[in-house]
This record gives sequence, structure tokens and C-alpha cells, in this order.
Amino acid sequence: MHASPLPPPSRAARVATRLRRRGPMLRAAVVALALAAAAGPPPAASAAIELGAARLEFAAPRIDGHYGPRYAPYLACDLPLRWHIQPRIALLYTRGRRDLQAPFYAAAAESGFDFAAATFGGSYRLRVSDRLSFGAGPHAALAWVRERWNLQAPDADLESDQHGTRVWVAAGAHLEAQVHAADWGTFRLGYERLWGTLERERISGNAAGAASLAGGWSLVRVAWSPSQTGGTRGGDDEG
Amino acid sequence: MKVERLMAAVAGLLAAVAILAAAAASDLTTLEPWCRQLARHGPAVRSQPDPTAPLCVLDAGLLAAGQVRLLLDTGPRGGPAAEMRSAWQSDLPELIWEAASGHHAQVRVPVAALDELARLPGLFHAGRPRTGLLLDDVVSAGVTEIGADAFVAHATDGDPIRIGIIDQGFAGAEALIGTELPAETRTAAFYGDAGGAGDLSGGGTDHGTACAEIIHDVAPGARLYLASMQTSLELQAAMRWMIDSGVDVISHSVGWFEGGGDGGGPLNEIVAEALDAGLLWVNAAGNQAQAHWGGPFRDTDGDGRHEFDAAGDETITFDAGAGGRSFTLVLTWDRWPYSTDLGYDIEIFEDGERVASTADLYSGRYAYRALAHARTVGRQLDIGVRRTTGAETAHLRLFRLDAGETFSEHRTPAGSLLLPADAPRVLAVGAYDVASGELEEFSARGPTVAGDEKPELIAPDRVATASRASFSGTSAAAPHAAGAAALLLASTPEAPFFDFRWRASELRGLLAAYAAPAPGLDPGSTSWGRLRLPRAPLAPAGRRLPLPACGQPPLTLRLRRPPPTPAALEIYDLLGRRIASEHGAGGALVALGATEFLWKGCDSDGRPVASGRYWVRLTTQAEAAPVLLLR
Repeated sequence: MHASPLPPPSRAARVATRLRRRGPMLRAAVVALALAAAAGPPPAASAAIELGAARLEFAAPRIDGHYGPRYAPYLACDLPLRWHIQPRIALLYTRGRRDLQAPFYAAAAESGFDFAAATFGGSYRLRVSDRLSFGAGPHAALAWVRERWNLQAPDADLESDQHGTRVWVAAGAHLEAQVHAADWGTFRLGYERLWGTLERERISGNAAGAASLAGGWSLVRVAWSPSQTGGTRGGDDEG
Repeated sequence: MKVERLMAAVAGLLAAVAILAAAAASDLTTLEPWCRQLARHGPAVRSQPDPTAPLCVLDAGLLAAGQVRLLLDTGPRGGPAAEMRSAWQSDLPELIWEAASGHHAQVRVPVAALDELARLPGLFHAGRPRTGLLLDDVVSAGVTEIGADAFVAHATDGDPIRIGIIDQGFAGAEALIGTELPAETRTAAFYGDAGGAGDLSGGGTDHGTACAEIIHDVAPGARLYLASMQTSLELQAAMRWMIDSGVDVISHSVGWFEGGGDGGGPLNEIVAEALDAGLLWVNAAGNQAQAHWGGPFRDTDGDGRHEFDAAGDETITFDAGAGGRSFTLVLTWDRWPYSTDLGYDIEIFEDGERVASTADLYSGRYAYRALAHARTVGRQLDIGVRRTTGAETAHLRLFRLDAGETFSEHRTPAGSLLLPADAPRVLAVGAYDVASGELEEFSARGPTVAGDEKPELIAPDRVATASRASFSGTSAAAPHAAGAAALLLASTPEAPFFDFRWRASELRGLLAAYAAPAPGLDPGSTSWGRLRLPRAPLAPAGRRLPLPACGQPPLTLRLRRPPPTPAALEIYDLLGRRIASEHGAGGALVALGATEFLWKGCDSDGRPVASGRYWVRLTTQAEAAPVLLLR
């Protein structure tokens, strides 16, 4: 039997430096472990479906200034995994249309968009009471956007109808508060913010003239899931 | 005896080897004849084109310092030239590689190495690089003429439109950036170096600078990309730089000859790359309408010499003109990229004696011949075309290139478009005099050899720029159309996620719809009419404004947009008496630029005007718009 030799001083110094560099992460991990310990064992897993509505704002001023805040139906599903951080998949969809200021030689101009996003995130829940809990966690999202642009110049017997489609990847975090209202079900109020970069592609003309559009979106959502009877409890904070 | 026979056989074998070696050493058939002369007679390289010397017909490719620039061709059965690079450079280390595309490579070699170059494996042909013709040989009030000054206010504030200008040279352009050219002007120099480290001034010509100035005048919000070039492969490099830079519109005031005038040929294949990328290519139509003969080869008497008319005239006779002046002729026909089985040559006769022929200069690989000649004083000069290879009939195009000169007989303005203005998707622009409105006689006419009605538009020339007091030719007209297209692009409303614009085909539709009809012009002058941008209606009448008190802060009268033509403002009372005018005494009414006027509320004598209603009348050369004031 040999005791493990101590690392030489230089190596110890390197390890210390690494720990100092990773200090914030380590501290966060320690806090997370402490919270997990306080919460006890992982809760009983159960699936829960939420229906809700979200108010969506795009972080890119070019988009938000044009279409303004949009309201989106929201559907989420808590996955039945026995983790401290409850994974959740959510889907939302919104669309918009806006008349554009047509040049004087054109009769009409408009643009419209369809936007659908799927987010996958985890929520660590902190139970404050039997009825109230708070949650927070990271999110990743895959958004699909399709925009249509129409410009009509009847004097020239021209109508240009164009559209573009892109997939947008974003990542962010969310906060939420959850209230159990007995037989009324569970209500959640959440706020999500996601960031990503969308290539602003040139649809007509030279595609090499594309420009990056840094942005993302934030949304406030209100969701409801029905009360679950028969001994199955929805929500990990009830575990 | 046997020994003698053996020795004789060995001697014969050695002699045969020596003959073959000698033949190999002098095998220069891949070189164009002028190149062979260089190889045989030493480094008689001229640094400047000398049109009086047959060696140097359009020889901008000749370089100084004992080097010559050449276009190498792997031929119809060869592979891509780029694949030969290492083999050729291994065999000929002096070979300097400049660019390659398809079967062609542009290289430089010392004149002393031409012999070795001729023996490179896989070499089909070595000749002069293909160069273009600047179209300014004949002279910007065109901005107002086409309505760009009124239209420019309708450009959106979004991403700027990018316009590329590919030209031979931009001498003086860098000094004009920030003043006559936009501050956001990018440059790249491919002239003399397809890698982009060439000469932006193109040997000192300001042709491209003047074109860029016109575009900036027409579309001041556009961002300009200037690229100099000289040869077709440098044009390709410049064009690719434009595509990579996101350029929307390319303006090219250069004409080329590498095609049969039917929209095809190697030069149009290069341009097609930009068109396929979605760019709008605007090109000067050409200035050779009166210095062109075009039509099928005709030889009713079977002597091999082309007949220029039904009467059987086999020559174009030059008028007396100034003796001693040199001129250049170019002959092309519709057989590209190779025409090894069909060849025609230009012949020049003085007093019936043949004095020059392209047969002495060309290897007969391509449907292209050029011949420069200095005429002899006092001798009758005739031009002829002879079929020297094959028996088929092609559509011939014969041009005279010296500035301002024409064919004195057998002129055929129809079909005189240079390349790439003959391509269907290229917007070809002819020229009319901005002052008189008359079509320029030299402006190239359609239809093309393929029957397409071109040029689509005619636009103003004889305009002034900072670099040129008077810029004429279709070279000056094309930038007006490129700028107008950019303004239409800039007027499109923006969507936020994607950058939508009018497509190139839609821009063509808009320019066609708003072109002003040009009745009474020669056939083939223009298929759409004169370049015009749509005109906005003037501001609505009847607005109520407070009458200023004389001596107090004046009233600002602001027009919604600049008037389409120079405007004068006047103020009348209800009895129709003129109270104040912009140019009246006392400075009661003062113009602050094109869209703002200050009225002090006084009449022209400086007296306060009484309360009541007054008319403000804006008079332009075309229209007047009353505005009602009420105190």
C-alpha cells in the first residue's frame, strides 16, 4: 500500500489557479448541491401538460419595432424524469402582418411572418410553501421563422411576392413562479429570455449581401395545468 | 562493306534525330504569329500599344521589362488550365501564374522563354489576353433629366445599395472619395494582377472615375465598389470580388469582342456568373453604330472574298479622310469558343495592292481578328474580308475602332452591340445627348444576331463630372441606368427578418414601365425608350400656415421632396398681385437649398403684408403647385 504522493508544488499551484479561475462555477455548483440536499431526494416524476399564452418580444429592434409584441399560444410538457431539475419541452407559435410604407409608385406593400419555437429547458424548483414555489433554469431553443414580403406596382404590371425561411438557434434562461390552487389546477407565471444570432439573408439579389442580426426574444407566459386526481400529483415540488 | 553500311545507317539515324530535334526546337505553332516573331527576333517588346505596328494590335497585354503577358489555352480537348499549373511551372520555372478559368490561364513569361513555352505539354494556344474597349470616345446633367433628383428622397434608410463599377482605370478616384464619391467607397485593383494587387488607375485613365461620379450623382446613398481590370480573366476576378462583397448592381462601360453578337461566347459566360448570383448587370451598348458592318458571309462569285452588298462589292472603301492616321479593325463571327475549322481574315488594300492581312498575325484558333494599320497619304484604301479556312458561312461582324470615325459605305448600325450588351439578361444602354435629346449616331443598335431587341434603354451622355468636363458615349449613359436601378432598389420597403428587394428581372420590368417613349428614333435604337424614374406627385395643395409678422422669426416653407426641376417660389395675394419672390428685392423670400424657403412676412419692399390669404406658388419647368396660407 502506498499513499498517493502529493502533487509537486508547481502542479499544486496550477490546480489552485484553475480552481480560482473556475471559482464562480464551483461556487454555483456548491450552492446547487446545497439546494438539492435541502430539497431532499428527487421528487416522484410525473408528466404534466401546460397550456398558456405568451407575450413575445423580439430583442432585435429591427424586428420588434416592425411587428411589435406578439401573443403566442404556449404548450409545455414536463418530462417524467426523476431529476432535481425538471426537464420541460415547450412549443409556441405566433404570426404577424404589417402594411409597409409603399413607395409612391407602388399600390401596396406588406410583410408578414410565422414564428414557431421549440424550447428545451430544465427548471430547478424551490418550494416556499405547499401552494407556492419558484423555479429557474437554462433554456435552449430552436425557432423556425418564415417571412413573406409583397410589393405591388400595378403601373408596371408587377407584383413581387417573396418569402424566406430560416431556423434560428438560441439559448437563455427562465424564471417562474408556480401556484397550486387545489382543484383549480396549477398556475405558472414565467419569464424567459433567449439570445441567438440570425443571419439576415438577402432573398432577392446577391445573397452575399447578408447581414447578421443579433437578437433573440423574451417572453412572459402564463400557463395553467389541470389538477391531477387519483393520487398522481403534477409538479415536482409536490414530491 | 557491312561496316560502311552500319556507319551509314548510324549517320542517317543521327541525322534524323538532329532534324527532329531541330524541328522540335523551332516548333512554335502554339504561339500566335506575333508571339513567334517575338521569340525569334528577341525582346522587341513595346511597353505601350502602338497601333501602327502589326505586332501590337490591341496589345495592352504586352509588358515592359522583357516580359510578355499571355493567355494560354488548353484547347477543346484539354482539361482545366488550373490543373496544368504545376506541370507547366515545373517545365518553365520563369512562368508567372496570374489567373485561370476553364481552359484559360493568364500568365507572364520572359520573352526569352517563349521558345520553351511553345513546347509546354497540353498547350493548345498562346496569344494575347482578351481586352475590352472603353466606350467614351465621343462626352451630370443627366441626374435631373432622368428624374433621379426628385426620386432620391424616396430611398429608404435601410442597408445601403451596393453598386460595383468594373472599368479599366480609376485614376484620381481616391482623391475624390468623401466629396465626388461616397465616403464608403471600396476599391480593388485587378488591372495587371488578377490576384487584386494591380494598378487601380489602370495605367492612368480616369474613365472609371467619371462613371463612378455619375452613379454617385444619381444615387448618392449607394455604396460604391470600384475594381480596375484589363483582360477577361481580370474581369472575372473583379466580378467575383463584387459578388463576394454583396454588390447588387454592376455598371460596366466597356465593350468586348469575344463572342459572335448573339449573346453567347466566353465573355458572356463570365458575366452569366454574376447574373446567376442575382445581380443586375448594366452595360454600355457600344459606340460603333456607324463603324460596323454585320451580316452573313456572302460569296456569290466563289472567289473566297466577302461581298458587302447584293451588288457584289467586295470592299469597304475609306473616304479620303486624313492620310497617315492609323485605325484598327476587328472582325468576329458567331463560332465560339473555337473556330479552327472556319476562318476569315481582314485584308487591307491600298490602290488595289494588299498591304496588310490578319492571316499574317493569327493562328486561326478563334473567331476573332484584329488589325491595325496606318494609311498612306494619297492612296485609295479598301477593306476586305476573305474566307481562308472551311466552307461554311458564318455571321460576320466587322468594326472600326478609332475614335469618332465611321465606315463611309456599307454601314449597318443594326446589330452593332458590343459584348456583353448582346446578352439577354444584361441591361444594355445606348446614349442620347442630354442637351438636345437627340440619339447619338454612334450609339449601338439592335437587334442582336440572335434577334433580341436591344439596347433596352437610352440614357443621357455629354455630361460633366469633376474628372471630365464633358463625358460622352454610351460609357456615360450606362452609369445613369445603374444609378437609377439602385434608387429603385433603395425605395423598396424593408422587412425585418429578411432583406427583400426587387429582383433583377423586376427591376428590368420597372425600368421598362417607366421609360419615356422615344418615337421617331432609328429602328433598333431602344426597345424601351429613354431612361426615366417614376415621378412622385407634388405635395397636396391647400395647407394652412400661420402668416409671419414682418421682422419677426420667418415662416419656413418646406417642400415634401425636392422639385423635379429647378423651382422658383413666389407669393401672391388674392388679387393675383405678386407680393414677394425668391429673387425679388429685399430678400423677403429666401431659398435654403432645394426644399426649404424662408418668408419674413414682408413684401418685396420690406413692408408688412396685411392679414389675409396668400398663395404660395412653386413653379418648376413642368408644373406649378399652389399652397394656401391663412392667418
